[in-house]
Amino acid sequence: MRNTDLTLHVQGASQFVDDIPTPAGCLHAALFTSPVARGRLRALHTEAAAAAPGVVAVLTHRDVPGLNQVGHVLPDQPLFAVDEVVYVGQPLALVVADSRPAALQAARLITAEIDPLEAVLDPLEAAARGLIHGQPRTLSCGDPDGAWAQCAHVAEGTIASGPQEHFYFETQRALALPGELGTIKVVASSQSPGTFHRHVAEVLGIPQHCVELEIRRLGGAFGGKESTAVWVVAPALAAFLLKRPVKLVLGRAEDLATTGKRHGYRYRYRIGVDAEGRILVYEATFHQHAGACADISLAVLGRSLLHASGSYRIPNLRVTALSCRTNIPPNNAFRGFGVPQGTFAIEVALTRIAEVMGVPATRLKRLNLLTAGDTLPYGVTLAQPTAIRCWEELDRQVDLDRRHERVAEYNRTHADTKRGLAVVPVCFGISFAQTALNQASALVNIYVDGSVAVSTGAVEMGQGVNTKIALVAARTLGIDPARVRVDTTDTTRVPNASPTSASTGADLNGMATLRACATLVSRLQEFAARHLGRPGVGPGDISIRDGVVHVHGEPTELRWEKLVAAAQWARIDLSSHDFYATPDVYHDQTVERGRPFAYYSYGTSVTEVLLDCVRGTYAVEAVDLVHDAGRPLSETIDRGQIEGGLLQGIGWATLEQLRTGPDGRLRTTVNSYKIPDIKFGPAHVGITLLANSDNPYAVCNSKAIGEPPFIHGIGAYLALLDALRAVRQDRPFPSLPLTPERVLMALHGPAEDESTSQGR
Amino acid sequence: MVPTYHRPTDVTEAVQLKATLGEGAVYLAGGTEVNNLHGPRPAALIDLAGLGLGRIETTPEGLRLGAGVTFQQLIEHPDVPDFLRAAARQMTNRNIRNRATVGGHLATNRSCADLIPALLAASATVARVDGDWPLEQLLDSPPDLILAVFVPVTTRGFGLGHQTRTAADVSIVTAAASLTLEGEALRLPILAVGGVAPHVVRLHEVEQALDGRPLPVLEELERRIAAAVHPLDDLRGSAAYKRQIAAVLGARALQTAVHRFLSAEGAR
Repeated sequence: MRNTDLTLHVQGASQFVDDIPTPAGCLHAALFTSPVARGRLRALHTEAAAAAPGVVAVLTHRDVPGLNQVGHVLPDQPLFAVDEVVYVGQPLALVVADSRPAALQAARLITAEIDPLEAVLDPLEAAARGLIHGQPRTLSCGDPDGAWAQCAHVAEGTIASGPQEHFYFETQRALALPGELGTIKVVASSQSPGTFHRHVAEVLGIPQHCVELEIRRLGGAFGGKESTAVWVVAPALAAFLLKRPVKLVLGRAEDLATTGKRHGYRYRYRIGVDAEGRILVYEATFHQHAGACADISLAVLGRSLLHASGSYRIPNLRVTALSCRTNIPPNNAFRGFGVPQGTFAIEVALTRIAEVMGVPATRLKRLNLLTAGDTLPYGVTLAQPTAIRCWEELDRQVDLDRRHERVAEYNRTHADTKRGLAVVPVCFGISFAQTALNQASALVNIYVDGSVAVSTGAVEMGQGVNTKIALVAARTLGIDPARVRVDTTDTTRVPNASPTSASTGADLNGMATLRACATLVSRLQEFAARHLGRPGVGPGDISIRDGVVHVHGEPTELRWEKLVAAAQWARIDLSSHDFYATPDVYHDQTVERGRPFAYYSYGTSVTEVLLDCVRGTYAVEAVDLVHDAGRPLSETIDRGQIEGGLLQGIGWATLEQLRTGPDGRLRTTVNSYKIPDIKFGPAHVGITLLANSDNPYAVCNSKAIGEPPFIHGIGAYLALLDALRAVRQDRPFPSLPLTPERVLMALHGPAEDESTSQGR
Repeated sequence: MVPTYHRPTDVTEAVQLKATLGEGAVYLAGGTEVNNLHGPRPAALIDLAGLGLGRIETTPEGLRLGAGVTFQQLIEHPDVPDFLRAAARQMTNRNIRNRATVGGHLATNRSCADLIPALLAASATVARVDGDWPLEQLLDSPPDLILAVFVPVTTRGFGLGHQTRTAADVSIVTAAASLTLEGEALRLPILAVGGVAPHVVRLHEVEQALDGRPLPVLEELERRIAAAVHPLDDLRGSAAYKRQIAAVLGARALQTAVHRFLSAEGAR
C-alpha cells in the first residue's frame, strides 16, 4: 500500500503548519539572535523595535513566566540568553508584530551590547581545554592492550567527517492559539510531542494539562525537529502573554544559519589484524563537534560508541568518545543518529588495513562479518544475524569478485578516469539506546458508522508511519484500510509520547495500535457471539475478515458497520487505549554493558563510481543493495525509505559541506550548500529486500527502515576513495565529504593533512 | 514586496524611468538574479518585457540576439551555432534557462558566467543605449541598458569547459577558446575564463604566447594558464582548486577548438 499522503502532496492539498488558514488577529513573530559567538551580554536595546510600525511586543528572558529553559537533556539551553551568549544565532529576543515583514524589519532594530570572549570553534581544542558535555565514554572488550602483540599487520590514522544540514522542506515553525482560562494550543512542526509539550508548559509556568500540542504532519524533519524546542516554545510564549494567535516561521536562510546539524566528528583509529586479516583489535577516539549546548549530543555520541564495531566481529576493542563543547549552534539528531559516524570510522580503518596488507577490503569485510554466536563489544550475543545472508544474496546477484575484476581491468587501461568499488555492510541497532523512550501508546476509536480513528504518538513526516499504522489497525480489526483514518498527533489524546525517531515510529506505535485493536476485536467477538445467538458458538469461534463477521471461518450476514452499530447500542465500549514498552532492553552506561537494542537491521550494498581524475568530478554510477526489512508492512514505503536514505547518505559522503568562519558564523548559504539533485543520484539503484526474513521483535514481523539505509551512502565515499587510491596511495585518506574539490586536491593539490581543517 | 513596478513599452520610456527613479530602480529581465538578491529589495523595478527585445535575427554578417532572448530560446533556435548552444546549456537547469535572458546575464556580469566566455571567444559586440561596444570592454565598465548582442559569423574553431559539483549547479569555473589555424600554427587564439576574477577575463598573455605557434602539449598549456589566473578563496572553492580547474578546462578548451577547426575545415 502506498503512503496515503502522496496524492495530497501531489495535489498540493496537504496541510503543513503554514497551510492552516491564519486565524483572525494572528500575530507574527521573528527572533533576534546573537551576532557574536561568545560573550557577556551587557545590555539589549529593544526600544526602537518596540516602537516600530506594527510591533505589538518585544519579549526577552524577563517576560518568561516560568522556566527560561529548553535544554533537551541538560538544563544548559535558555530560551532567551540572559547574561552570556555562546553561539551565533542564539535567541535573545522575540519581536511580535501584526505582519511577518514588520516583525522581521523591527528585529533588525534591536542591538545587543556584548563583550566578546574568545570562542572555541575546533572540537580538538575544546577537548584539550576540558570543554566537553557530560563525561567521556569508553566502550571496551577483550584485552585491547595485550592484543597488539599478536597482530601481523597494524594500521592507524586520523580522519574527519563533516556536518550535514537537514534541509527539510518545511523550516522550523509553529502556530500558537490561546484558549480560555489560561490554556494554550500549539500546532507545531515537531517530532517530539511529549518533550515539546513539557517545554511549553515549563516555560509558561502552567500545568501540562493546560497545553495542547498538535501535529498533523511535517514537511520533513530527519531528526532536526526532535530536540530543540525554541521555535515551538517561543510563539507559544507570545500567544500566552498577548492572548492572541502567534505564528513563528523561520526563513530558509535563518533556519540554515541558526539550527543544529549532523555532528561533524574527528576520529583517531588504530586497527590490528592477524596474517589472514581477522580483526584482533581496534582502538579509536571520537571527538564529536557538539556545539554550545548539550542538546541531544550525548545520546548521539552513545550510539556512535555502540556502533563502533560496525558489522564486524572485534574481540578486543577500546573506543573513547567525547562530546566537544564549541561555540556553534548546538548540533542535534539527524537520520542515523551517530551510527553513520561510528560506522564510517571502522569502515575507514578496515579499508586502510586492507591497503597495508595489499588485499581487497571486500575480502576482509566478508572475513570479519558478524555471524551467529558473535558477541558485540557491549555484551550482546547475536542469535541469528542476517548480515551474511544479505551479503551472500548481493554476491549472488552481482558477483562481487567479477565486479572488482572489471573495475581493476578498467583502471589498468585508463589513466584519466578511474572506477572505484566499495562494499558496505550495515548493522544498525533498533530501539532508543535510552531505554525509557521505548514506549508508545495508541487510542483507537470505532464510530457507529464503522469508521475508525487511530491516534498515536507517532509523527508523520513523509516516512509513511501513518499508513503503516492504518495497515496494522486494518489488519488487526479485519477491515479495509480505507475505513481507518490516522488522526493528528495530539497530546490530549496521547500523552507523554516519545519522539518519532530512532526508526522506531512504526515499531512502537504500531505495536500499541495492534494491542488496542486486539482489545476491541475481543470485545466485538464476545458481542458478536451473543448477537448472532447461534447455539454453541462462542467468542473464540468468531473472526472478522474483510469487514465481515465469520464463524468458524465461514462468512455470516453480519457486516462490520452493522456489528459496530449493534455493539454500541448494546453499550459495548468501542474505544480502546493501549500501551507498548519494548521488553528486555537495558543498558548500563557505567560499565557500557547491556542489551540496548531489541534487534538489528542488516544490509549490504555495493557502490560503483567513475572518477574524472583530471577534473575531480565523478558519477556515482550504480548501487546494488540487499536490505533486511523483515516482512514489510508496506514494501512501497520501505523501498522509498531505502532510496531516500541512500541518497541522503551519498549526499553526506560526497557533496554536503558546511563552513564556519573564524567568527563562528556559518559561511555556507542556501545557494552554496549542495544536496544531491536527481541527476547526481546513481543512474542505477538495485534494491532487493531480503526474502523470508522474520522479526519477532517488531509489529507484524516488520523491521525498522527509517535510518539504516543511510549507512549504505558511506559506499560513495569508499568507492571514490578506491578510485583515488588507484591513482596514488602516498597520501592520507581525505576526509568526508569527498567533494569534487577535495578529490582534485587529494590528487593534485599540495600535500597536507587536510583533516585538521575539517569537522567544523 | 517591491514598492513600485513599471512596465515601459519602449526603450526611451525605460531609460527615462531609470533616470527619474535613480539608483534604487533596477531593470528586470528574466528575474533569476533580481529575485535572488540578498539584503533589501530594490525600491522600484523596471520590467523590460514590453520592449520587444526577445528576438533572434539572422543576418549575413551574424546573429543579433535581443537582450530579452532567453537561454532556452538560444538552445532551441536553429541558427544559433553549436558552441553557443552548449554554453547556454551549462546554465543550472531548465527552469532558470526558461527565464534567464542574454541581456540580464551580461548585465549581472557574474564572475563565473556561463555564456560570457563563449561570447568573448566569438568576438561578440553589445548594443547598449549608449552605443555599440566590444563585449570585453563592457565587462569592466558601469552597466547601462543592454539592447542586443551581435555574434559575427566565423569559421573559427571553438572549445568550452565548465566545472560544477552536480549537473544542476552553478558553474565554479567556466572557459571558452576559439582560434583558426594556418597549417599547424594557431592564429589569433582567444581564451576566456570565468570564476577566477571579479568578472570573466580573457587571458591575453596566454593568447599572445600561443599565437603563431603549434598548440603546445597539455602540461605546458596548463602551466601557462595557471600562471595567468589569480582566483580567490571563497565558498565555491579554494584559490588553488580554481586555478587547477581553470588550467584543466582552459587547456582542453583550446585542444577542442583545434579539433573543431580541423574537422570543420575537413568538411569544407
